[in-house]
Amino acid sequence: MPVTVTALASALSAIWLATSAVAVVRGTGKRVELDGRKVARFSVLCFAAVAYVYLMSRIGFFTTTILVVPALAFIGGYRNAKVLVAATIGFVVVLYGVFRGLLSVPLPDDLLLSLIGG
Amino acid sequence: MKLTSKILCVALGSTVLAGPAIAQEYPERPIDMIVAYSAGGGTDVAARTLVPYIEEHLPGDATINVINRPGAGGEIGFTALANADPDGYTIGFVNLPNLLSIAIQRETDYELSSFQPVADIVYDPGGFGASADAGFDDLEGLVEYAENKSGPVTYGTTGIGSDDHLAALTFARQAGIEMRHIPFSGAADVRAALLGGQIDLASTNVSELIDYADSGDVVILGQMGEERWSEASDIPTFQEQGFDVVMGSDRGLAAPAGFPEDALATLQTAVEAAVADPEFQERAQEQRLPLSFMDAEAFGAKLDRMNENLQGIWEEQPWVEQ
Amino acid sequence: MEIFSAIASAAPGVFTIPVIIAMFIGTVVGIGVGALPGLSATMGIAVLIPLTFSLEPLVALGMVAGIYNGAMYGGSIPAILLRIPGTPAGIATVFDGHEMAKKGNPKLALDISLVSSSLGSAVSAIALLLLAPPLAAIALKFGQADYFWLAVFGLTAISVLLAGNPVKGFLSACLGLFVGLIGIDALTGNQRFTFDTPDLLSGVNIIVILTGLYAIPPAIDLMTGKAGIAAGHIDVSGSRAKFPWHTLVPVWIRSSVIGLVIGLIPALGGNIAALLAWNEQRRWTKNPGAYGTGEPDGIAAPECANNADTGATLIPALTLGIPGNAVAAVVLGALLVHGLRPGPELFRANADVVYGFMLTMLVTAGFMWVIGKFGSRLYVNVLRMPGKLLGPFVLGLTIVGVYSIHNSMFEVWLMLGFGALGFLMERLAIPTAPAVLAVILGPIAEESLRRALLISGGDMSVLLAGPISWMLAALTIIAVLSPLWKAIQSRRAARTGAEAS
Repeated sequence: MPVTVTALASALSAIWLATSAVAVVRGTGKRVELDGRKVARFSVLCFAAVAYVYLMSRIGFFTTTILVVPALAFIGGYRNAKVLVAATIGFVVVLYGVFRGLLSVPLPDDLLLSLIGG
Repeated sequence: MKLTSKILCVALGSTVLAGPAIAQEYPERPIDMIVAYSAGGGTDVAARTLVPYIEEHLPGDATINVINRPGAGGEIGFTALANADPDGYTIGFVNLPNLLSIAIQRETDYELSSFQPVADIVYDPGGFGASADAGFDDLEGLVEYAENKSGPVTYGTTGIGSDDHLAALTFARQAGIEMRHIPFSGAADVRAALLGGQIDLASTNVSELIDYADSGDVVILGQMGEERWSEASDIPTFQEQGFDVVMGSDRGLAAPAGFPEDALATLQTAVEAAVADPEFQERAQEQRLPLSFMDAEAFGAKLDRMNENLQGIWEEQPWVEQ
Repeated sequence: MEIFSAIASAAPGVFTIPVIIAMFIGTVVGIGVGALPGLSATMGIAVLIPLTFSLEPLVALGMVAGIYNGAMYGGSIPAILLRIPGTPAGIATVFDGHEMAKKGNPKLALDISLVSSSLGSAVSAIALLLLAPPLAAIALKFGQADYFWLAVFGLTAISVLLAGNPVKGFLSACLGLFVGLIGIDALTGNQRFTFDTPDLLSGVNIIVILTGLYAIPPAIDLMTGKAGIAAGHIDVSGSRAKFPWHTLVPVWIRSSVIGLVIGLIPALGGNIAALLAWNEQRRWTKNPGAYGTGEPDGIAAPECANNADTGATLIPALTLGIPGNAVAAVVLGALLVHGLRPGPELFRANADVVYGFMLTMLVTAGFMWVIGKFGSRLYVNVLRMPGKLLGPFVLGLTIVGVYSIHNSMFEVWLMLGFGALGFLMERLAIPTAPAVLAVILGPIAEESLRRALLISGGDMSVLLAGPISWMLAALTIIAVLSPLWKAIQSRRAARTGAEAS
């Protein structure tokens, strides 16, 4: 029984692979014009998201948030520095309150918090 | 530069000051307690019920944080516990026989020797339940029923390799009857299938069945403890009925191996006092938690015995196809 | 009437100041955890349990009821405003809710969702209060074969009808089935597609998948400035469009029934209820083409159904101790903490607390309406925030939310992976909803089929042994054939039209 099911699953994924290949061909056929700047911005975003998670496991979630969120907004094209700083700080404080204070989620050790003795 | 050296000084100073204090006052910072099951589940509720009483009986102003690391039938949490720094500040709940049976049936990053047992807290004996209109109410009746039935007797359990499954395997071999295993994903599903008449027998912990036995929907054919559980004193054990099946699930406390001895001693005393606390006992009674305290040594011996027993069953009758 | 006297004796306990405050707080918290992607009612209640040790049982349970009801509604807020469903049950709300908001009526969309949710909750709570024991019997009647057919019915209906392009819909469902296979096979203990990673042994959590597929692509769009709603033409007051009371009443009736029935059957839950209700609504209507473009009925149906599911799920949970979904399981945990053991004894031994708890389910439905009424004015302001600023916040929130489900970094990575996948699927116009359904229903179908065959000893006839199975099998066949039938009819109509001209 498990063998048949696993085989079925493999067959399904094979079908999926085949059809998705077709779909990819069809999809790329439709959108040929790709704005070079947009692609660059998109890959920067992807990189930033991966960096976000990686840094979170190394230097802690809150420290990373303070660094990455403004950076992302800046890359995205947001230029109002005052609002950006205020909003980031507000965001981190709220998250800290909810996840550390209220839910006491054991987040990875935080660099910034350990500096200020949290 | 100046600032960093200042910080360094302060940091060093505080360690020097704190140094001698460790020996005197063991929990000087919060202790993490890993629970290998989801928040809100049976083990989690039991752990969170117990924690305030352990805190109370630990010296000073101790706090214990419950950390849920569920997944893979407990393996994720057990592995996290085994790999934790044995500094006295990480302990965890271990569930038996899952802790041992997982390590037998697949490669794991821990083994029994990765743990320092602290105390056994709950021992919940297994049992067989049948529908009230099944026409038999003891194990002998079950064997007779099985011999006369055209197909094999179907029994539901909470999963492959669970204590319920292993118990039924052992029983079927001793009784010489054919039984077909139907695994479900939780005790409640097994009970539903039994009440809905889909299966002949439920092999599950007695505490899961007792309310339904009281209401008359289910008959419990026998319990698998060495002695009768006080809440179900009218149900004979398997041994009393002539079948040598002793099985049940334990929930105990363990720590990573190499745990500091003074911390272990302090913790063990606090847990013993917490379990004996009448207020806790009342709460445990409400939740029908069958308490059974064992200290580190006795619990360790039990773990070894159980591991040997499981190894034996595995060699004769591996419960997972390889 | 025994039940009414039991309710009457429980009522004074409910209408005390501490319980009312608890219900209020619970509802607010529930709407909050529902609205935030990555957080769910399950987590909210689970975290609450240890905090309620020292409280009176009804105070604690009132809060639980508020969270449960509130979260189901809360999930629709970001679904409507940002195209991000806050809970799995909010997926179907995105289809029409976000479109309506895009057309400039976010306030109306929120109002429809709110009224539908409150009504659904109220109906469900009343059913729970009055009919729990007889309805529980239905849950027991469901055998393994019936589960199998139900899951298959859910799968075919959605996969065929949802996608404009059935091939892509089917492809999406296959992907979901594959993901659903990951983990330990419950029936043999074998590992499937786990790549020897213990993190994958218990399968992929539905919230991880959902957050990845549904929250990441909109967050990317927000950051790249492609957000759907331009702040300019938003009608915050909601005065422009009238609330379509008269057309919504039949929708509510139908959807509450769907929500109730789905809730009663353990293992399905609000996620499925909402999608099925949306689908059924589309099937009943005369202009299915309008669905997915901002149709009021398309918001009312899923929201009403996912709230009608709340009380119904508690029926098998309270009477039989069978939790229908993850939320019901933690609710049982909360009951247990207060010494209330679900099962046959519960209604006899603790009638006051149990009926009190059911009453709080009803009262919090009302609270939800009041809070939502005032709140929706505030939520709409989220749209005034520049997307480029909002996007990173959404990303941060999903990361910490997903992490806190199981305190696992692995699941955060997995979520990002699903995010990339979701983005890709969206660009290729592959619908993601069939995948989510397949992840939920696939394992149910497979396990129940194999369990049914195991019990019968391999005899296939058990699959059509009971009346429920027959009915569901017939429904499945109708669901598969009806699009074909419609296609043939429309072709015939086109042909006669061509001949006439």
